[in-house]
Amino acid sequence: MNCEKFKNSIFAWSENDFSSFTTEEFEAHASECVQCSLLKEEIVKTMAIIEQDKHMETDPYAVPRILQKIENRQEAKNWWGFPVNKPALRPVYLGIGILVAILLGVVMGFEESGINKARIANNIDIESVRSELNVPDIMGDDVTEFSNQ
Amino acid sequence: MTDKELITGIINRDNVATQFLVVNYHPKVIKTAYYFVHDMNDAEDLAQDVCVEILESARHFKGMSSLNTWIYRITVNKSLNFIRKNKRKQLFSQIENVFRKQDGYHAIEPQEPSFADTNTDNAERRKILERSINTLPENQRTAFVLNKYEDLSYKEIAEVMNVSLASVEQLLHRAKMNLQKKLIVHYSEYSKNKPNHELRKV
Ligand SMILES: [Zn+2]
Repeated sequence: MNCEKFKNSIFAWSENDFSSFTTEEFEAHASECVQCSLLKEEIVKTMAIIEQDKHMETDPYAVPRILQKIENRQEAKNWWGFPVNKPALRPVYLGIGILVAILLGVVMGFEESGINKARIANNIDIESVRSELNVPDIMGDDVTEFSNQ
Repeated sequence: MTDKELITGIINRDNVATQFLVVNYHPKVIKTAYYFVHDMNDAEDLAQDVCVEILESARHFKGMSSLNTWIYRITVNKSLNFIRKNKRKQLFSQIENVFRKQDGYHAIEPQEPSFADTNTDNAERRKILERSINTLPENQRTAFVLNKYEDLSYKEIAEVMNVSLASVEQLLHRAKMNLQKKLIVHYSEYSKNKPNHELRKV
């Protein structure tokens, strides 16, 4: 095994993958070539960092922090702090919604009937009503004539 | 709590489900994000984003994969997006620094991340390893991190990355070859300038 082959076999050797070389030829080169041996040692130590990082501890306060942030987010989303998203209160919101819709309908109905009354009133022929009931036009010219008599 | 119970609870905004999710998955998500971004503050921010996304998109979880796989997928995507954005930011700040230097300003060099590693040799090795992993193409890096740091099987990696088993095998092989090459170049360059007995102190 030459230096090039040795270097390119370090990962495979560290993973016990001996499909392209034997452990004997790898170790024989390591014992006779100081440079390659030191390089192998350094690469093995570098890759061992991965094992160390697997046991890394995370900040124990990170969990309460994220829970608080989620709660704050949830509250900010709610309307004036009202628990809009609480499933238990959904029927209440539905009821309020229906009630509001009914009230709106009633109010609009009233408005509509007022508009109709005004429309009918506008369409009445005042002159024909007056003549039919034989009422003098108190706002018109007849009034002065009437009072003069 | 089963995956289904947890998802149903999250959809119904059940506090117990939310707490279960955060307590059981948040630390894991921080670690996975850290293996990609190599900065604890960034990893915590990413983990928070991941938790919020899970809470908000739980109703879209169809159960085609396990909850674990789904969370890994969200974490990997968020981490890779973060790295892409950061790269763009770094590029802009480098350009800015060039112009500032031309104008006579002295740019402040970005600080190296600090590690609670008392062994300076290991701190240095960690930097070398992280830099080398960072230079791998995205999909090779993802397969490598999930396999080596997270101990996921090829099948699990294939599900997270949405690729075939053969692709995972190929990606991992290439990632290892590239990483080996990068480390050989780094340590060989160093040893050229150092006597043999000092190579240990790289
Ligand atoms: Zn050699």
